[in-house]
Amino acid sequence: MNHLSASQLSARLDDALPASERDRVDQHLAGCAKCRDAMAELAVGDRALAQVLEHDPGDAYFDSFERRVQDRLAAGAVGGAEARARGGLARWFANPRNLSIAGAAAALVVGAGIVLMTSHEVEMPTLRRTAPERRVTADEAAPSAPAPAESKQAPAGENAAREPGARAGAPATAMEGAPRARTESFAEPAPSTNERADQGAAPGRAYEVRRGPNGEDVAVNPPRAPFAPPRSTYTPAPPGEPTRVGGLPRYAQPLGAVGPMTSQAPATKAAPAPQTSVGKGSLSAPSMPVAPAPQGDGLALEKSNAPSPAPALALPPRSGAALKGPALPTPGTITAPATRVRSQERDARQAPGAAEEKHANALVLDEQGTTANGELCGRVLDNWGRSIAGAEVTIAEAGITQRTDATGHFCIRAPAGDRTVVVMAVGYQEVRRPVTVAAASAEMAITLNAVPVLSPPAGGASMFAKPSGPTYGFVSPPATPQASAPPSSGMAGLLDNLQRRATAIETLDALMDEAQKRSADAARDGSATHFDAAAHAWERVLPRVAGQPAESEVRFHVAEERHLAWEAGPTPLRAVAARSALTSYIERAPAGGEKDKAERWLRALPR
Amino acid sequence: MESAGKRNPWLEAGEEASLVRAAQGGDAQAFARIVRHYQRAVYRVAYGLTRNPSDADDLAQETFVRAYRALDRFRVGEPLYPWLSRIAVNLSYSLYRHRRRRPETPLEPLLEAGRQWSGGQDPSEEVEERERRQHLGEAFDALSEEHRAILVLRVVEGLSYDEISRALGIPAGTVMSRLSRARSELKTRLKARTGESS
Repeated sequence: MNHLSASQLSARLDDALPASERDRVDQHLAGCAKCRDAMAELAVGDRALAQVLEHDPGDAYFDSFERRVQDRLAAGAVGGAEARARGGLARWFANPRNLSIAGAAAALVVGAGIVLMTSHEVEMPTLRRTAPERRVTADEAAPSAPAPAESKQAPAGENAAREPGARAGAPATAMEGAPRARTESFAEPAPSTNERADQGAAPGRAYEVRRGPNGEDVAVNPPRAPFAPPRSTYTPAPPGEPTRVGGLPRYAQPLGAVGPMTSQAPATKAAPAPQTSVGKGSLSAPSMPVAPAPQGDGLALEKSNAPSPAPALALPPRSGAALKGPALPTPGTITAPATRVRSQERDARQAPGAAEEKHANALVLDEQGTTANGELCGRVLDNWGRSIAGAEVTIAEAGITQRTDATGHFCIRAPAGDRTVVVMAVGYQEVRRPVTVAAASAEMAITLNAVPVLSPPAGGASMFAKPSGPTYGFVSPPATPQASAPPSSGMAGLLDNLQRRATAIETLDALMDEAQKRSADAARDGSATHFDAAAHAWERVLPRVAGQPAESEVRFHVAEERHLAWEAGPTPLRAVAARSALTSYIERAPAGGEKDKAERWLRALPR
Repeated sequence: MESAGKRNPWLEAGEEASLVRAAQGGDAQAFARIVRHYQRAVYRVAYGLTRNPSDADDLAQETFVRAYRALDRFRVGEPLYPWLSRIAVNLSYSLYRHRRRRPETPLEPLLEAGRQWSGGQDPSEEVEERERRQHLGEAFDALSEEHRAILVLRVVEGLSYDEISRALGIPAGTVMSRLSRARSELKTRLKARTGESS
């Protein structure tokens, strides 16, 4: 059967066919997807056109319209209707005086337009904040630990000033301004993107800052070359801080995570704030003391920065990420120094409740230097009695750490005796408690208080404090060393939720999940904006894997999504973004099929 | 098929006829009512035809001026709006013919941009949306005046084929084929602009 003609489709769309023909056409449409699609395309085209051709000058315009017609009629009557009829509009425009009037009016409207846009500038940060990419990052949690002094200052105001400028440029000069605005939006929200790696310490480049204990701006992660040596020297913890943690050599970091023995130590009190600075996690991993841990200060330092994410591991397989499920109270930060341990923990988490696995896990730890003849089991809950998954439970003296499973349970095998258990979870205040580990201890319940949000951040753990300033320089309010108060009720639940979400989104796993979901969405949807979003999500993962084997893969994802975005909606902006992402990837990529692909894509981009 | 300007229901036929008669008899108030009633619809057509607010303003006003002067020749009982549209279309033709081509004014993109920035959309979507509209607008501008006119009357105003046939002074069969050609032509030009293959 022949397909419907364009004319038939067009007339059917307008419902303008005679009844008999309409029935025939409808019959055909019922059985022919191709013609249905064609008609749908026509309808979409009509709607789009209607939008383009519409313009509403506003009520005020129409209020005076009738009067102006009357004026014009009167003028025509006086001036000679016939002349007017012959000359028409052309004549009106041909008159230099009228032209000048029109010009003045146009200038006026242009001016108004500029004012309009200027007023929008102010709103832009707000828009951005509500945009999907505008998430709270963990960097906003200002750990109170003294930060490296070498860090550069990045005045947030600079960003603020720059950004609206870029945006204002966009509407004003459609072709020039727009790419700029777009570029900004690529670069800024993602704490890293290729640009950072590419540009290194470009002067004036904005990067994240937080406030140190004295209120000074401190770069959380000063830009550095992609593969710069890790920041291995940490500032020692504040003097006088109780830091003696019975050192178990191998688990320097978990031990560090243990935190101070006394809960009053101001700077470390609220350590659970994750510190997920760009590159830091990955970079600091190798630098961690693997052999016998330095005592005292070294540890104290690790402590204050304690739950540093150090995620630094090979990417989980795509399916693996899916297994992990919703990442809400997911462990943000992985403190296990060894990949092996972490992967085991990961396994354990993937099969929550599998006691055998947990024990196996503990046993492995035992092999590494602990004689475990006791067991401590329990459950970690929040103030509202909800399980906290992924909380880090450490037997301080033994340095044995385990994460709670999805139901908040843990079971640690440890040497029997009086011990201290330390429980940490991102977004919660650390809890330390003396316990007696025995062969069969009773199950204990440990409740964690959420890190307070609204009150002045306690102990620098204000990870969710609103960033001051509309920019991406994440400036946290100055840390006030003081014991934190438990969250007040009322808002507390809501805040807690917000915290959890914000926390989750910042963990590597969550970021990965997010990116993979976005990729899947984009693949399903096929729209350029979805690919943009996916690319963006991968860019957010990037800083967490910088310097890791996984970096290349993540870069490939970024490049791939940018490439697909360009294919789906080939705009000059996307071409620029795709070129940048592809180039960044190719520079670092190992030879292979993916690299070949990327090179092919790069060649396909317009010069 | 329903007859109507999309968002501006026509005057009821009897009321319209009596208003026209009164206006023909010199009743300024009656004509003022006609203006008030059709001003938005006429402006929409004018804007669709000119794609330029200041031209649209002028064209819309001039349409009513011409209508007032030609009112005596209007046959009472005919629908008024297609007649007004016809005046607007013919005026726009003469405007275009005289000026050869529509001058590019920087005004419209500015207003457009100003409007879009207020949308609270994702910036990248805004950029994309703006580009899409720009391409479509340019593709539309590149159409012949007959094709532009028929698309405006059908797509913007939602006139029936019969009304379009009155407004353009062409047979109803021609409306069908011309609309179809206009749509195809627009699609082709749009694809040529965005580099899509069909």
